[in-house]
Amino acid sequence: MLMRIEAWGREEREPVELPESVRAETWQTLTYLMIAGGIMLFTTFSASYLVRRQSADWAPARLPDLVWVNLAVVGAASVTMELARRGGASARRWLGSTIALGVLFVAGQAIAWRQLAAQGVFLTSSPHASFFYMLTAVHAAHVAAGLAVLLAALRRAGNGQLGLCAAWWHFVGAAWAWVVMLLTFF
Amino acid sequence: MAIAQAVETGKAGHQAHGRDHGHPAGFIRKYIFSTDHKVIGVQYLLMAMLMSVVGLGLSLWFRVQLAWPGKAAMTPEQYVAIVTMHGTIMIFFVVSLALSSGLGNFSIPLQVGARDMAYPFLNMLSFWIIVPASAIMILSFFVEGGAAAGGWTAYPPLSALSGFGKVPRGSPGSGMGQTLWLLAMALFIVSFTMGGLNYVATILNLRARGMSLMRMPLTVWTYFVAALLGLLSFPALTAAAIMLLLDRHLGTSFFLPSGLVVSGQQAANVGGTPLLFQHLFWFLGHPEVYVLVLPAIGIAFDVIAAFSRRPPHGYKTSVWALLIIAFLGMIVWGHHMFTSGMNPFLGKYFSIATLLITAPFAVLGVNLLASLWRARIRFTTSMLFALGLISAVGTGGIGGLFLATATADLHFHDTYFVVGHFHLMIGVVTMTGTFAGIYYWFPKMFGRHMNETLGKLHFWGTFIGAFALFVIQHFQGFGGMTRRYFEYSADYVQPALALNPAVTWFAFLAVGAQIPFFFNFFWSMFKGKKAEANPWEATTLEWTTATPVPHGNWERLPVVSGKPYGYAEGANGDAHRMQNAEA
Ligand code: HEM
Ligand SMILES: [Cu+2]
Repeated sequence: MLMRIEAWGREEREPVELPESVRAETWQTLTYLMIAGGIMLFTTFSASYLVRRQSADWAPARLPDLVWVNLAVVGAASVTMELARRGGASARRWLGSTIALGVLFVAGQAIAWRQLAAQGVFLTSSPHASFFYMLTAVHAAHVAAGLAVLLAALRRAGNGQLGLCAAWWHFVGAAWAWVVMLLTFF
Repeated sequence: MAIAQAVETGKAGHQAHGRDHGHPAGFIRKYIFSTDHKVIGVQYLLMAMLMSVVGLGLSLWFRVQLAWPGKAAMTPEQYVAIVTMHGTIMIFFVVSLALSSGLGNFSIPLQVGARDMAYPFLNMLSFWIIVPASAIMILSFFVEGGAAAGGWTAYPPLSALSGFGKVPRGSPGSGMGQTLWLLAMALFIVSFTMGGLNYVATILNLRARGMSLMRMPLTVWTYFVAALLGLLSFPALTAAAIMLLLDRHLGTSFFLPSGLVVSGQQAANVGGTPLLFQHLFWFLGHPEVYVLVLPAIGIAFDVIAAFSRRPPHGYKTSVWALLIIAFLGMIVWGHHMFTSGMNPFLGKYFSIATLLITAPFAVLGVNLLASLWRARIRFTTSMLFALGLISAVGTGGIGGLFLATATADLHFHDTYFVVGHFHLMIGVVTMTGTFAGIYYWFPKMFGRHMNETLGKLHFWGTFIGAFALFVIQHFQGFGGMTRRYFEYSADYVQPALALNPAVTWFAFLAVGAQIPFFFNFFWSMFKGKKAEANPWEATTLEWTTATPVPHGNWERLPVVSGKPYGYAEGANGDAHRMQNAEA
């Protein structure tokens, strides 16, 4: 078999480079697909929440007010992201601010966890609390992925891919807005 | 969306490679950690073959128990674990790997005219995640309590009762075995998702110049639709798996119902809804079966075109049927839960939506059949498997009609009727499609033909064995034989049980018929008849490049000038026109 496949490997097996324009398109496809998958994930969790809340043991806890502050932070991060995307001289600075706000958001979420725990509300205290902890954690993972991409973008000075970073980042922000609404009003 | 991949750049890229010509590329990078889609495709195929030995072996083991109770040396607990692992391994580690990942990797870039997948490194990673996933799945047999025993569907409560912390233990297999099962499945999902992203990006963005969507071979269309379906439905299982893991290990109560008492022990984390898991599982599960079956049908279209020397009947209607199947496939999952308790109106809806799906499926089936009309068929092994696929689609689909009717399903659910139905579909359709593809592309993979005599032996053994076995199972289901039972005692089921030895013998025939295939596969790699670049006189792009295929697939990327199936379009009736032929 090796002999047969030999010819495939006769040349140095460098991955084949794609032209810039095509590469940009594949990133676009990848990003939008991942957002679609992310939407499906949060939709599934939301549907589960709406089903689970109909059980007899449902008793929603009051979320720490901090989650609203965090919502404002993530909203602000979306604004700075847009400013960075618009380009111009201060683009990099706006990108840096976005990353800082993203980190601030995650820190804020961690503090919200501790506040809730200080009230004696833990993961297993009630199904509502289970959803709160689980959804914040799952969401934080998506923020972390966004931060990783933004950091990569920051290191590569000036590039055209910021639009896709922004798309993901807005998705993450919108997801948090949705999750807070769900946990508070439903 | 601009599609064409610049020909010039391709050439430049090629020259860049030429620079290092003669340097022996390292063995490890060439065959082990390769980023070449062709190598990765073959790696997946080999992995699937390896796993099939386990998966099929398990099935023969429990078939012995069913036919001759007590002769198979296993306990009832082991029986359910073996059934669970058989289902999981066959669906996710054999059919998915061989058909979706293996043949998909090999054929997609070649058929769309690309040098490789959009993300070759990600592609390599996808494969290397499957290796530990497979290992973990197999090793789970050897942990305390043995392998998972909650069925391939892993329904809670059983699958949630882990015995960790304050959570009671449901069965031996629901301890460590189930945890490893979930871990392996999580890795599988990651790998499969990355694979799907690669497929869609490759198909959307890397097509050769001139390859419009409606000029893509149907194989590519089916992989495209399947990848999209997978990407949109797997998140549901991901969410379900996260909640299940939390229930199992951290004591949450998403799925465990109130009042649950397990061997005298009152479960603490209760109040949840096991039905929710079923909804989430089948929201993935139903699309997943299409993810597997559609590419098999796509391959059959290509193979039948090549060996009947005619373009497939109704290309456009097939594409539309595919898209409709994909859409409807996402909204029919409830037909797996008719007996689980749901609002009767909802049941009616799921019933009607499911019946609707049979219409586009029938379109595909009829198009496959009509492609043969008045054709001069070349009965190669590959063609035989494609023909076998048509009949399995028909037979399995008819069973589906019965099951989709909620009132009938109340009787059939969880009987061997269902087992027969889904094996015809997810077993026979997918595997006949896979084999049709392997015999078809083997000359392109390895530059040699597989042996036709052994191939025909393989086909007839597989076809007769599998058909007999699964059709008889339908009748056992009529007779009231329930699935997932170690032993039966009721009187009414005795006539159905009497068929069990015959079923088991046919199972031995079907599995035994894979022996000539395995032998043929490896023997032909070295000793098979040498193949030319286009031995089947087929017209799609993979046949326009040299054999063995050079790294980067073409010296110069092909430019597409017409439809994928240029059969009988030449001057003298029997000629064929390659997809990149000069106009
Ligand atoms: C003609 C179209 C089809 C219809 C109407 C149909 C209908 C159904 C229904 C109603 C069930 C649930 C039966 C029950 O559990 O009581 C079922 C089970 C199943 N079907 Fe189909 N089906 C069709 C095609 C397919 C295809 C194409 C595949 C796979 C590629 C497939 C794979 C399965 C599987 C895997 C199960 C059962 C899994 C389990 O319970 O473990 N079906 N089908
Ligand atoms: Cu289904």
